[in-house]
Amino acid sequence: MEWQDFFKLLHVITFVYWVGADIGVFYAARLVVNPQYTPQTRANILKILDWIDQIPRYMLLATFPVGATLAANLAISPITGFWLYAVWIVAIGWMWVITHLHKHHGKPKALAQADLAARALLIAALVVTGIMSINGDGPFLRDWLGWKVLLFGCAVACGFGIRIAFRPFGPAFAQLMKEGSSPPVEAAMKKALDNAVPFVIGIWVFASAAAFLGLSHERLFGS
Amino acid sequence: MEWQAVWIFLHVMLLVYWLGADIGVFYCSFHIRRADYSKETRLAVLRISGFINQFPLAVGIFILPVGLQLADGLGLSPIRDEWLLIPWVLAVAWFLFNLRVAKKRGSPAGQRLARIDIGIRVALILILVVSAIWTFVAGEPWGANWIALKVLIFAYVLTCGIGIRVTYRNAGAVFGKLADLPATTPELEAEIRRLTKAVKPWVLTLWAGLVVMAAVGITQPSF
Repeated sequence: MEWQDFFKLLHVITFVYWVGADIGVFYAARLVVNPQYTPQTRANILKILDWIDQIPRYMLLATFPVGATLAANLAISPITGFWLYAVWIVAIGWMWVITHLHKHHGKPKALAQADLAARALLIAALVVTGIMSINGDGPFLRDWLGWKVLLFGCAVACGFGIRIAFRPFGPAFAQLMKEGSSPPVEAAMKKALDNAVPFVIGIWVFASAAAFLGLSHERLFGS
Repeated sequence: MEWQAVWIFLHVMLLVYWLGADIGVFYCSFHIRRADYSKETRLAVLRISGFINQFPLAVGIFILPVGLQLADGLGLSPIRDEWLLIPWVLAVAWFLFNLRVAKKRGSPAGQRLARIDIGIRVALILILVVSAIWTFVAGEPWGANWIALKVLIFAYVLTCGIGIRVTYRNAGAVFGKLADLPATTPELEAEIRRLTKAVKPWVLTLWAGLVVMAAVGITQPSF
Protein backbone atom coordinates (compact mmCIF):
# COMPACT_ATOMS: atom_id res chain seq x y z
CA MET A 1 0.00 0.00 0.00
CA GLU A 2 1.40 3.41 -0.98
CA TRP A 3 1.52 6.18 1.61
CA GLN A 4 -1.01 8.28 -0.28
CA ASP A 5 -3.50 5.37 -0.23
CA PHE A 6 -2.80 4.86 3.46
CA PHE A 7 -3.66 8.52 4.16
CA LYS A 8 -6.77 8.24 1.95
CA LEU A 9 -7.90 5.30 4.09
CA LEU A 10 -7.16 7.26 7.27
CA HIS A 11 -9.14 10.22 5.88
CA VAL A 12 -12.14 7.94 5.26
CA ILE A 13 -11.82 6.36 8.72
CA THR A 14 -11.69 9.76 10.46
CA PHE A 15 -14.90 10.74 8.61
CA VAL A 16 -16.52 7.36 9.46
CA TYR A 17 -15.90 7.79 13.19
CA TRP A 18 -16.67 11.51 13.20
CA VAL A 19 -20.17 11.28 11.73
CA GLY A 20 -20.97 7.63 12.53
CA ALA A 21 -20.23 7.77 16.26
CA ASP A 22 -22.34 10.93 16.54
CA ILE A 23 -25.58 9.01 16.01
CA GLY A 24 -25.19 7.36 19.43
CA VAL A 25 -24.50 10.71 21.08
CA PHE A 26 -27.55 12.23 19.38
CA TYR A 27 -29.92 9.51 20.63
CA ALA A 28 -28.43 9.20 24.14
CA ALA A 29 -28.79 12.97 24.63
CA ARG A 30 -32.57 12.56 24.21
CA LEU A 31 -32.62 10.13 27.14
CA VAL A 32 -30.64 12.55 29.32
CA VAL A 33 -33.44 15.13 29.01
CA ASN A 34 -36.19 12.52 29.46
CA PRO A 35 -37.83 13.28 32.85
CA GLN A 36 -39.11 9.70 33.11
CA TYR A 37 -35.57 8.66 34.10
CA THR A 38 -34.12 9.27 37.55
CA PRO A 39 -31.34 11.90 37.85
CA GLN A 40 -28.78 9.15 38.63
CA THR A 41 -29.64 7.21 35.49
CA ARG A 42 -29.40 10.39 33.46
CA ALA A 43 -26.01 11.15 35.02
CA ASN A 44 -24.80 7.66 34.06
CA ILE A 45 -26.07 8.07 30.49
CA LEU A 46 -24.38 11.46 30.31
CA LYS A 47 -21.05 9.86 31.23
CA ILE A 48 -21.47 7.22 28.50
CA LEU A 49 -22.55 9.88 26.00
CA ASP A 50 -19.56 12.04 26.91
CA TRP A 51 -17.16 9.16 26.26
CA ILE A 52 -18.69 8.30 22.86
CA ASP A 53 -18.65 12.01 22.00
CA GLN A 54 -14.87 12.07 22.49
CA ILE A 55 -14.50 10.01 19.30
CA PRO A 56 -16.00 12.66 16.96
CA ARG A 57 -13.94 15.29 18.85
CA TYR A 58 -10.71 13.40 18.15
CA MET A 59 -11.70 12.72 14.55
CA LEU A 60 -12.43 16.38 13.85
CA LEU A 61 -8.89 17.23 14.96
CA ALA A 62 -7.31 14.23 13.19
CA THR A 63 -8.99 14.75 9.83
CA PHE A 64 -7.23 18.08 9.22
CA PRO A 65 -3.57 16.90 9.36
CA VAL A 66 -4.51 13.78 7.39
CA GLY A 67 -6.21 15.93 4.73
CA ALA A 68 -3.29 18.38 4.74
CA THR A 69 -0.87 15.46 4.15
CA LEU A 70 -2.99 14.21 1.23
CA ALA A 71 -3.08 17.71 -0.30
CA ALA A 72 0.68 18.17 0.22
CA ASN A 73 1.36 14.90 -1.62
CA LEU A 74 -0.78 16.18 -4.51
CA ALA A 75 1.27 19.44 -4.48
CA ILE A 76 -1.88 21.57 -4.18
CA SER A 77 -1.35 22.89 -0.65
CA PRO A 78 1.12 25.43 0.77
CA ILE A 79 1.33 23.37 3.98
CA THR A 80 4.39 21.25 3.26
CA GLY A 81 7.69 20.26 4.89
CA PHE A 82 8.19 21.90 8.28
CA TRP A 83 4.69 23.38 8.29
CA LEU A 84 3.10 19.99 7.71
CA TYR A 85 5.02 18.55 10.68
CA ALA A 86 3.88 21.58 12.68
CA VAL A 87 0.22 20.90 11.77
CA TRP A 88 0.60 17.29 12.97
CA ILE A 89 2.26 18.36 16.24
CA VAL A 90 -0.42 21.00 16.90
CA ALA A 91 -3.19 18.47 16.16
CA ILE A 92 -1.67 15.85 18.49
CA GLY A 93 -1.15 18.52 21.17
CA TRP A 94 -4.75 19.64 20.74
CA MET A 95 -5.94 16.04 21.18
CA TRP A 96 -4.01 15.93 24.45
CA VAL A 97 -5.81 19.14 25.49
CA ILE A 98 -9.28 17.71 24.80
CA THR A 99 -8.31 14.46 26.59
CA HIS A 100 -7.26 16.51 29.63
CA LEU A 101 -10.45 18.58 29.53
CA HIS A 102 -12.56 15.41 29.20
CA LYS A 103 -10.83 13.75 32.17
CA HIS A 104 -11.12 16.84 34.37
CA HIS A 105 -14.68 17.80 33.38
CA GLY A 106 -13.72 20.96 31.51
CA LYS A 107 -11.11 22.12 34.03
CA PRO A 108 -8.93 24.16 34.14
CA LYS A 109 -11.27 26.78 32.80
CA ALA A 110 -8.41 28.71 31.16
CA LEU A 111 -7.54 25.67 29.07
CA ALA A 112 -11.19 25.25 28.00
CA GLN A 113 -11.29 28.93 27.01
CA ALA A 114 -8.02 28.57 25.09
CA ASP A 115 -9.50 25.56 23.26
CA LEU A 116 -12.55 27.61 22.31
CA ALA A 117 -10.43 30.57 21.18
CA ALA A 118 -8.21 28.27 19.09
CA ARG A 119 -11.32 26.88 17.42
CA ALA A 120 -12.51 30.41 16.58
CA LEU A 121 -9.10 31.13 15.02
CA LEU A 122 -9.16 27.86 13.08
CA ILE A 123 -12.67 28.60 11.76
CA ALA A 124 -11.59 32.07 10.59
CA ALA A 125 -8.46 30.68 8.91
CA LEU A 126 -10.39 27.89 7.17
CA VAL A 127 -13.23 30.11 5.95
CA VAL A 128 -10.92 32.89 4.70
CA THR A 129 -8.43 30.58 2.94
CA GLY A 130 -11.29 28.46 1.57
CA ILE A 131 -13.05 31.47 0.00
CA MET A 132 -9.75 32.89 -1.31
CA SER A 133 -8.90 29.55 -2.92
CA ILE A 134 -12.35 29.25 -4.54
CA ASN A 135 -11.77 32.72 -6.00
CA GLY A 136 -8.46 31.52 -7.44
CA ASP A 137 -6.29 33.60 -5.09
CA GLY A 138 -4.77 30.59 -3.28
CA PRO A 139 -3.32 29.38 -0.96
CA PHE A 140 -4.95 26.08 -2.00
CA LEU A 141 -4.45 25.38 -5.67
CA ARG A 142 -7.73 23.67 -6.60
CA ASP A 143 -11.34 24.89 -6.44
CA TRP A 144 -12.53 21.65 -4.90
CA LEU A 145 -9.93 21.86 -2.14
CA GLY A 146 -11.02 25.45 -1.44
CA TRP A 147 -14.59 24.20 -1.11
CA LYS A 148 -13.50 21.33 1.14
CA VAL A 149 -11.59 23.72 3.41
CA LEU A 150 -14.60 26.08 3.53
CA LEU A 151 -17.02 23.21 4.31
CA PHE A 152 -14.67 21.91 7.00
CA GLY A 153 -14.56 25.43 8.46
CA CYS A 154 -18.38 25.45 8.53
CA ALA A 155 -18.40 22.04 10.28
CA VAL A 156 -15.94 23.29 12.92
CA ALA A 157 -18.12 26.42 13.29
CA CYS A 158 -21.13 24.18 13.97
CA GLY A 159 -19.10 22.41 16.69
CA PHE A 160 -18.39 25.86 18.15
CA GLY A 161 -22.13 26.60 17.94
CA ILE A 162 -22.94 23.41 19.88
CA ARG A 163 -20.62 24.47 22.70
CA ILE A 164 -22.33 27.89 22.93
CA ALA A 165 -25.89 26.55 22.57
CA PHE A 166 -25.24 23.78 25.11
CA ARG A 167 -23.75 26.06 27.78
CA PRO A 168 -26.98 26.43 29.84
CA PHE A 169 -27.21 22.63 30.06
CA GLY A 170 -24.36 22.26 32.61
CA PRO A 171 -25.84 24.49 35.36
CA ALA A 172 -29.34 23.07 34.75
CA PHE A 173 -28.03 19.50 35.03
CA ALA A 174 -26.11 20.37 38.21
CA GLN A 175 -29.37 21.73 39.65
CA LEU A 176 -31.17 18.50 38.65
CA MET A 177 -28.57 16.44 40.53
CA LYS A 178 -28.75 18.71 43.57
CA GLU A 179 -32.45 19.47 43.89
CA GLY A 180 -34.12 16.85 41.73
CA SER A 181 -36.43 17.29 38.77
CA SER A 182 -38.59 20.38 38.37
CA PRO A 183 -40.35 21.87 35.33
CA PRO A 184 -37.93 24.85 34.99
CA VAL A 185 -34.84 22.58 35.22
CA GLU A 186 -36.28 20.11 32.70
CA ALA A 187 -37.24 22.98 30.38
CA ALA A 188 -33.76 24.53 30.60
CA MET A 189 -32.04 21.22 29.75
CA LYS A 190 -34.41 20.44 26.89
CA LYS A 191 -34.07 23.96 25.48
CA ALA A 192 -30.25 23.73 25.51
CA LEU A 193 -30.39 20.40 23.71
CA ASP A 194 -32.97 21.59 21.16
CA ASN A 195 -30.84 24.66 20.45
CA ALA A 196 -27.82 22.44 19.75
CA VAL A 197 -29.66 20.13 17.31
CA PRO A 198 -29.43 22.40 14.21
CA PHE A 199 -25.66 22.67 14.75
CA VAL A 200 -25.32 18.88 15.07
CA ILE A 201 -27.21 18.39 11.80
CA GLY A 202 -25.04 21.15 10.32
CA ILE A 203 -21.88 19.18 11.16
CA TRP A 204 -23.29 16.07 9.47
CA VAL A 205 -24.27 18.02 6.35
CA PHE A 206 -21.02 20.00 6.00
CA ALA A 207 -18.75 17.03 6.80
CA SER A 208 -20.69 14.83 4.35
CA ALA A 209 -20.55 17.48 1.62
CA ALA A 210 -16.77 17.75 2.16
CA ALA A 211 -16.51 13.94 1.92
CA PHE A 212 -18.55 13.97 -1.30
CA LEU A 213 -16.11 16.46 -2.86
CA GLY A 214 -13.08 14.55 -1.63
CA LEU A 215 -14.36 11.27 -3.03
CA SER A 216 -15.33 12.58 -6.46
CA HIS A 217 -13.30 15.72 -7.19
CA GLU A 218 -11.68 14.08 -10.20
CA ARG A 219 -15.08 13.26 -11.71
CA LEU A 220 -16.70 16.57 -10.78
CA PHE A 221 -13.81 19.03 -11.23
CA GLY A 222 -11.59 17.09 -13.62
CA SER A 223 -8.55 17.25 -11.31
CA MET B 1 -25.66 13.99 -13.02
CA GLU B 2 -22.52 12.00 -12.27
CA TRP B 3 -24.17 8.88 -10.80
CA GLN B 4 -20.89 7.11 -10.04
CA ALA B 5 -20.00 9.98 -7.68
CA VAL B 6 -23.33 9.49 -5.90
CA TRP B 7 -22.79 5.73 -5.52
CA ILE B 8 -19.23 6.21 -4.19
CA PHE B 9 -20.55 8.71 -1.65
CA LEU B 10 -23.42 6.39 -0.63
CA HIS B 11 -20.96 3.48 -0.30
CA VAL B 12 -18.83 5.50 2.13
CA MET B 13 -21.90 6.79 4.02
CA LEU B 14 -23.00 3.19 4.55
CA LEU B 15 -19.58 2.49 6.06
CA VAL B 16 -20.10 5.54 8.30
CA TYR B 17 -23.34 4.15 9.67
CA TRP B 18 -21.94 0.63 10.01
CA LEU B 19 -18.42 0.96 11.38
CA GLY B 20 -18.82 4.43 12.88
CA ALA B 21 -22.16 3.75 14.57
CA ASP B 22 -21.00 0.35 15.89
CA ILE B 23 -18.48 1.93 18.27
CA GLY B 24 -21.45 3.22 20.30
CA VAL B 25 -22.96 -0.27 20.55
CA PHE B 26 -19.56 -1.65 21.54
CA TYR B 27 -19.03 0.92 24.28
CA CYS B 28 -22.57 0.40 25.61
CA SER B 29 -21.83 -3.33 26.01
CA PHE B 30 -19.25 -2.48 28.72
CA HIS B 31 -21.93 -0.60 30.65
CA ILE B 32 -24.72 -3.15 30.21
CA ARG B 33 -22.69 -5.58 32.33
CA ARG B 34 -22.12 -3.14 35.18
CA ALA B 35 -23.96 -4.65 38.14
CA ASP B 36 -23.34 -1.50 40.18
CA TYR B 37 -25.73 0.39 37.90
CA SER B 38 -29.44 0.42 38.67
CA LYS B 39 -31.75 -1.71 36.55
CA GLU B 40 -33.17 1.49 35.08
CA THR B 41 -29.73 2.65 33.94
CA ARG B 42 -28.86 -0.71 32.39
CA LEU B 43 -32.16 -0.86 30.52
CA ALA B 44 -31.56 2.71 29.29
CA VAL B 45 -28.11 1.64 28.03
CA LEU B 46 -29.75 -1.33 26.30
CA ARG B 47 -32.21 1.05 24.69
CA ILE B 48 -29.38 3.25 23.37
CA SER B 49 -27.46 0.20 22.15
CA GLY B 50 -30.59 -1.21 20.46
CA PHE B 51 -31.29 2.09 18.70
CA ILE B 52 -27.74 2.49 17.35
CA ASN B 53 -27.58 -1.17 16.33
CA GLN B 54 -30.43 -0.68 13.84
CA PHE B 55 -28.05 1.29 11.61
CA PRO B 56 -25.40 -1.43 11.12
CA LEU B 57 -28.19 -3.99 10.63
CA ALA B 58 -29.75 -1.99 7.78
CA VAL B 59 -26.42 -0.96 6.26
CA GLY B 60 -25.16 -4.56 6.16
CA ILE B 61 -28.01 -5.31 3.77
CA PHE B 62 -27.91 -2.25 1.50
CA ILE B 63 -24.13 -2.05 1.09
CA LEU B 64 -24.29 -4.97 -1.38
CA PRO B 65 -26.63 -3.41 -4.02
CA VAL B 66 -24.77 -0.09 -3.69
CA GLY B 67 -21.47 -1.92 -4.23
CA LEU B 68 -22.97 -3.67 -7.26
CA GLN B 69 -24.01 -0.27 -8.68
CA LEU B 70 -20.44 0.95 -8.24
CA ALA B 71 -18.95 -2.18 -9.82
CA ASP B 72 -21.38 -1.80 -12.75
CA GLY B 73 -20.25 1.83 -13.19
CA LEU B 74 -16.68 0.56 -13.50
CA GLY B 75 -17.78 -2.16 -15.95
CA LEU B 76 -16.66 -4.87 -13.52
CA SER B 77 -19.97 -6.45 -12.48
CA PRO B 78 -21.78 -9.36 -14.12
CA ILE B 79 -25.08 -7.81 -12.97
CA ARG B 80 -25.70 -4.87 -15.30
CA ASP B 81 -28.23 -2.15 -16.18
CA GLU B 82 -31.85 -3.13 -15.51
CA TRP B 83 -30.71 -6.46 -13.98
CA LEU B 84 -29.50 -4.39 -11.01
CA LEU B 85 -33.14 -3.97 -10.04
CA ILE B 86 -33.11 -7.59 -8.84
CA PRO B 87 -30.50 -7.12 -6.04
CA TRP B 88 -32.26 -3.90 -5.03
CA VAL B 89 -35.66 -5.60 -4.75
CA LEU B 90 -34.09 -8.53 -2.87
CA ALA B 91 -32.29 -6.13 -0.49
CA VAL B 92 -35.51 -4.23 0.28
CA ALA B 93 -37.37 -7.52 0.83
CA TRP B 94 -34.58 -8.83 3.09
CA PHE B 95 -34.56 -5.56 5.03
CA LEU B 96 -38.35 -5.77 5.59
CA PHE B 97 -37.93 -9.40 6.63
CA ASN B 98 -35.25 -8.33 9.14
CA LEU B 99 -37.64 -5.75 10.60
CA ARG B 100 -40.10 -8.61 11.11
CA VAL B 101 -37.35 -10.71 12.77
CA ALA B 102 -36.57 -7.82 15.14
CA LYS B 103 -40.27 -7.31 15.95
CA LYS B 104 -40.83 -10.99 16.79
CA ARG B 105 -37.54 -11.37 18.72
CA GLY B 106 -37.89 -13.45 21.89
CA SER B 107 -40.95 -15.42 20.68
CA PRO B 108 -40.88 -18.93 19.11
CA ALA B 109 -41.97 -17.37 15.79
CA GLY B 110 -39.08 -14.90 16.10
CA GLN B 111 -36.59 -17.73 16.62
CA ARG B 112 -37.89 -19.48 13.49
CA LEU B 113 -37.60 -16.24 11.47
CA ALA B 114 -34.06 -15.66 12.84
CA ARG B 115 -33.07 -19.16 11.65
CA ILE B 116 -34.45 -18.38 8.16
CA ASP B 117 -32.46 -15.13 8.16
CA ILE B 118 -29.28 -17.05 9.03
CA GLY B 119 -30.11 -19.50 6.23
CA ILE B 120 -30.35 -16.57 3.77
CA ARG B 121 -26.99 -15.27 5.01
CA VAL B 122 -25.31 -18.67 4.64
CA ALA B 123 -26.65 -18.98 1.07
CA LEU B 124 -25.42 -15.47 0.24
CA ILE B 125 -21.99 -16.21 1.75
CA LEU B 126 -21.71 -19.35 -0.40
CA ILE B 127 -22.63 -17.41 -3.57
CA LEU B 128 -20.12 -14.67 -2.74
CA VAL B 129 -17.28 -17.07 -1.90
CA VAL B 130 -17.81 -19.25 -4.99
CA SER B 131 -18.06 -16.20 -7.30
CA ALA B 132 -14.88 -14.69 -5.80
CA ILE B 133 -12.83 -17.89 -6.02
CA TRP B 134 -14.11 -18.54 -9.55
CA THR B 135 -12.96 -15.06 -10.54
CA PHE B 136 -9.45 -15.77 -9.18
CA VAL B 137 -9.39 -19.02 -11.15
CA ALA B 138 -11.22 -18.22 -14.37
CA GLY B 139 -11.43 -14.40 -14.52
CA GLU B 140 -15.22 -14.23 -14.18
CA PRO B 141 -17.94 -13.35 -13.15
CA TRP B 142 -16.25 -10.30 -11.54
CA GLY B 143 -14.25 -8.14 -13.95
CA ALA B 144 -11.21 -7.65 -11.67
CA ASN B 145 -9.55 -9.64 -8.92
CA TRP B 146 -9.70 -6.72 -6.48
CA ILE B 147 -13.53 -6.68 -6.73
CA ALA B 148 -13.52 -10.45 -6.17
CA LEU B 149 -11.30 -9.88 -3.11
CA LYS B 150 -13.80 -7.32 -1.76
CA VAL B 151 -16.61 -9.82 -2.35
CA LEU B 152 -14.64 -12.49 -0.48
CA ILE B 153 -13.98 -10.16 2.47
CA PHE B 154 -17.65 -9.16 2.49
CA ALA B 155 -18.53 -12.86 2.79
CA TYR B 156 -16.15 -12.99 5.77
CA VAL B 157 -17.87 -9.93 7.31
CA LEU B 158 -21.26 -11.62 6.87
CA THR B 159 -19.82 -14.72 8.57
CA CYS B 160 -18.77 -12.58 11.54
CA GLY B 161 -22.36 -11.22 11.57
CA ILE B 162 -23.65 -14.80 11.84
CA GLY B 163 -21.15 -15.39 14.66
CA ILE B 164 -22.62 -12.39 16.49
CA ARG B 165 -26.18 -13.63 15.95
CA VAL B 166 -25.42 -17.17 17.13
CA THR B 167 -23.52 -15.90 20.19
CA TYR B 168 -26.31 -13.46 21.04
CA ARG B 169 -29.19 -15.85 20.29
CA ASN B 170 -30.22 -15.97 23.98
CA ALA B 171 -29.60 -12.27 24.59
CA GLY B 172 -33.32 -11.44 24.36
CA ALA B 173 -34.15 -13.91 27.13
CA VAL B 174 -31.17 -12.83 29.29
CA PHE B 175 -31.89 -9.11 29.06
CA GLY B 176 -35.61 -9.88 29.43
CA LYS B 177 -34.76 -11.43 32.82
CA LEU B 178 -32.85 -8.30 33.75
CA ALA B 179 -35.99 -6.28 33.02
CA ASP B 180 -38.45 -8.69 34.69
CA LEU B 181 -36.66 -9.84 37.84
CA PRO B 182 -37.07 -7.57 40.88
CA ALA B 183 -33.30 -7.80 41.49
CA THR B 184 -30.38 -9.21 39.59
CA THR B 185 -28.80 -12.55 40.55
CA PRO B 186 -25.17 -13.76 40.38
CA GLU B 187 -26.22 -16.30 37.70
CA LEU B 188 -27.78 -13.58 35.56
CA GLU B 189 -24.71 -11.36 35.93
CA ALA B 190 -22.45 -14.26 34.94
CA GLU B 191 -24.59 -14.88 31.86
CA ILE B 192 -24.53 -11.17 30.86
CA ARG B 193 -20.73 -11.08 31.29
CA ARG B 194 -20.34 -14.30 29.27
CA LEU B 195 -22.53 -13.01 26.43
CA THR B 196 -20.92 -9.58 26.13
CA LYS B 197 -17.43 -11.11 26.31
CA ALA B 198 -18.11 -13.89 23.79
CA VAL B 199 -19.43 -11.49 21.14
CA LYS B 200 -16.39 -9.19 21.16
CA PRO B 201 -14.00 -11.25 18.99
CA TRP B 202 -16.70 -11.43 16.29
CA VAL B 203 -17.29 -7.67 16.43
CA LEU B 204 -13.59 -6.76 16.36
CA THR B 205 -12.81 -9.09 13.46
CA LEU B 206 -15.90 -7.79 11.60
CA TRP B 207 -14.54 -4.23 11.97
CA ALA B 208 -11.14 -5.37 10.71
CA GLY B 209 -12.87 -6.89 7.69
CA LEU B 210 -14.67 -3.63 6.93
CA VAL B 211 -11.44 -1.61 7.16
CA VAL B 212 -9.64 -4.07 4.86
CA MET B 213 -12.57 -3.84 2.40
CA ALA B 214 -12.23 -0.05 2.41
CA ALA B 215 -8.46 -0.37 1.87
CA VAL B 216 -9.01 -2.70 -1.11
CA GLY B 217 -11.61 -0.30 -2.56
CA ILE B 218 -9.15 2.61 -2.26
CA THR B 219 -6.05 0.84 -3.57
CA GLN B 220 -7.78 -1.39 -6.16
CA PRO B 221 -4.71 -3.67 -6.32
CA SER B 222 -4.08 -5.62 -9.52
CA PHE B 223 -2.96 -9.20 -9.01
